Amino acid sequence: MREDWYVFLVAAACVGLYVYGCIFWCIIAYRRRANREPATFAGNSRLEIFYVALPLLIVIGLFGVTLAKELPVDGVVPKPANRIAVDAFRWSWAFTYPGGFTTRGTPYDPPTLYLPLRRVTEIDLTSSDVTHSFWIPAFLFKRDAIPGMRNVFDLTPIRTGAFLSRCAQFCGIDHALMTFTTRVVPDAAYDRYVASRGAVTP
Amino acid sequence: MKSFVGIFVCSALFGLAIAVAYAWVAHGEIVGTILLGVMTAALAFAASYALIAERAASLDGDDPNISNDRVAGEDLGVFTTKSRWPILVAAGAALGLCGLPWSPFMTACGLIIVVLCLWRMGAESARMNASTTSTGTDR
Amino acid sequence: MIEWMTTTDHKKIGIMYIVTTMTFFFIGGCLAMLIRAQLARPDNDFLSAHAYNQVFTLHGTAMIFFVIAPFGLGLANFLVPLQIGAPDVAFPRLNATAFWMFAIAGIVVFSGLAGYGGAAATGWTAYAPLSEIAEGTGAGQDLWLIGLLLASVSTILTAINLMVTIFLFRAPGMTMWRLPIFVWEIVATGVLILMAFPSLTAVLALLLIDRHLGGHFFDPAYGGNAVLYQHLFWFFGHPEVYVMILPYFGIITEIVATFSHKPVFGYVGLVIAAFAIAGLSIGVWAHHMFTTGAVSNPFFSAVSFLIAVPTGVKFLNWIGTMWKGSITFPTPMLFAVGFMLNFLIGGITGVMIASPPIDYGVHDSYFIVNHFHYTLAGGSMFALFAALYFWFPKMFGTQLSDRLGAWCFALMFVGFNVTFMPMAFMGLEGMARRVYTYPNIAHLGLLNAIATGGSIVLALGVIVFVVDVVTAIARRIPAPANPWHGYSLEWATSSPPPEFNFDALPPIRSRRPVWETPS
Repeated sequence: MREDWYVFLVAAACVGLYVYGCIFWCIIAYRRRANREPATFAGNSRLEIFYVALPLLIVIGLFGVTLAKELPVDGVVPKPANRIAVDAFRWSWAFTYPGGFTTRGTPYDPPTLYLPLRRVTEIDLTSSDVTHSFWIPAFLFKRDAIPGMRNVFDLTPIRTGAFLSRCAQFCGIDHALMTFTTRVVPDAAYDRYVASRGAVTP
Repeated sequence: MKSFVGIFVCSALFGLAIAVAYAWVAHGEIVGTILLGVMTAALAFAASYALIAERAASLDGDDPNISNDRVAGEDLGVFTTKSRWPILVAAGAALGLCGLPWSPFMTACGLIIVVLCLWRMGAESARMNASTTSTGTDR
Repeated sequence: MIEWMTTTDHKKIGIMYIVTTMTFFFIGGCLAMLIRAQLARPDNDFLSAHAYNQVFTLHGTAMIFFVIAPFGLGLANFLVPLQIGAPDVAFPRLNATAFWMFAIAGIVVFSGLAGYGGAAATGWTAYAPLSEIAEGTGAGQDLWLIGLLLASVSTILTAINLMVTIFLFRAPGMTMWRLPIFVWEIVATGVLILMAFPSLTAVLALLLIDRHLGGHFFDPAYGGNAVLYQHLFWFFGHPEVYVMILPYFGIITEIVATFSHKPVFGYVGLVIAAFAIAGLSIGVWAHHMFTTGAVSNPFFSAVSFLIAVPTGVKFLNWIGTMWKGSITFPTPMLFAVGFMLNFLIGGITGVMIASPPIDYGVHDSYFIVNHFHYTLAGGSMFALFAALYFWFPKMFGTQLSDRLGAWCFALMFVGFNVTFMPMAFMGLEGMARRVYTYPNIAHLGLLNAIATGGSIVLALGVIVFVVDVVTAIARRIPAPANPWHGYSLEWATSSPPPEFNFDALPPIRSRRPVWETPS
């Protein structure tokens, strides 16, 4: 995901510097001076066509980069190694692990989502009341939890750690408190957690 | 083709293009297809009306070489300078809408006020157009 | 007083629009200062959650529906008949009706504050099903709905009025291709309003039915669909943001051309770009919905990327207008340059979030808040002030001070950037939108404190503007008919213009009738 950002940032910097450069050039070089008359041209067809074509090429390139990244991000494998059902509600989360046990949080005692390192976890996301959004900033990823709809996506963490996560879709009074922690743990620790139905926390 | 006809015809064609493209790429996702389709239909209606009405029309404003002498003193119709009905129509509309969640009676009152004011506005127009002075106030 | 309540003169109505929108601007600005005060440090308790939610809802609603969009239309009200050489708009009483509906609408929305449960508190977007739950807001949400219904009808009526005026009431010789770019932008805005606002009216009506008349359009428990709300809302909502920028593009074009003392570069390109932007904007609405998983992300991403192209054309045409010109920098030009510098950043972040994988990371975070403030506040708001400084003499017959104007610009430009640039980083560090407080992690405390500091400087700039207006009106030094040596028709009549605008029209043979008429 980060390569995507770098491509866009480089494109942004180039375009930005170029246009800023033009603007500053104009306001410095073309200030009114007593001995200079302003030009009278009102257009330049070849130039205008060029600067329709060039931005078009740039955005087509950026769209290509986007499409190449989007398909894997949105893609779901047919047989994921792990499955967790997430239910968002006002104002916390319920996680149902394989085996059927559920952990549930409150705004003042946010729950923890355990994920196994380097295993594909399929998240089955929905909401019990209003629209929420499942956001893990460190993963640069979010998906909305919409009542009446199930959103399915895959997470494959590549680093262990604890990552502050939260609801991103405004859902009422305690929206600001609707957080959870995503904890990526080694495989064995995760399996013990699931097998003990949450008794042995990694 | 006069510009306004061009704008609506091109908009209608563009609307058609984008509605078809959307229906194809989004596999006929129903909400977007209907929204774009209705919009295209509305634009097409406007475009056909514009095309038909434009046949016999010609505007002084579209003649690039017209001289002011030719049209000086022409009668552009009557423009009001003041009228008490606009603010009353607005108040009636507000009253009517405020009644919607809570009080059908309020909505009915609002509707009656709007209708009455529009009627008087029409009478004001008729009086202005019939008279020979160029400003009108409703008495 | 009665005179102002019954006038149908487009100039007076335009001025009333501007006064009303500036009033809402100050109110919205105070609400913004409340937001910044609450967010100045983590875990703050200056505002309760419910109070904060009302504040940001009203801030967004005020700025979008009652400031930026209507200012553009109000300015068009004043300016379009003058620029096309007409005595008034096509339907003067309809014009007045639309204005009063708009003014009353604003009062209705804010009256929610006085009721039990307070004002609307679901954001300016009021997503269902959240907005269907009477979450202690009592009448506030309904008053918000009604006010917006009224405002939406008002906007549609004004769009029709302006378009008819432009098509049919142009002075002899003022062909469409000689129109000032501002007028063309208003035509494009008008078409956009006609296409988009009915969707707003519809979604508000459906919401009202769900809330009070037993409907379940957006309630999945009864077979409704929450995503439907988003589709209907954003089908309006995205064109709305272009309604909020196109007139301002026109303002910038006029000002840049006037103060570069050169013809507008690429006139035809600017016109085509305006319509390209308007047209494409109809096809991008679900880029606000990338994270729902319910829409075709590639389609909306592709069209969103495409919109950058005509916008870029406009930018390059403004640069072409300045190129080899002879540029002076009175206050309107300062704000125009500020517009260009800010809007470019907003446009660039916009291209970034047109990419769904990037949007997944930053949607509903402060990165988005950065994006839309750079376009709407750094862009439209700066153009709004440029317009005020530029056309103030024409409207009121007296000029604002160039010195105070320069201070106003400097404070606003610095204040604006210091407030909103940190937000990009806040978003990347995981700060969500619409939160009344945030934890003390990463650099959020520092970034928010900087942003609050910047907002104080921005507010100072606005105060300088108020001082400027008050002193100018108090001193009343009469302004000439054409203080800026402008080239469009409004400068061919006195400041302010007489009733029915022109005692005599100059012959119109080009796009710059005043420059090319021997005076």
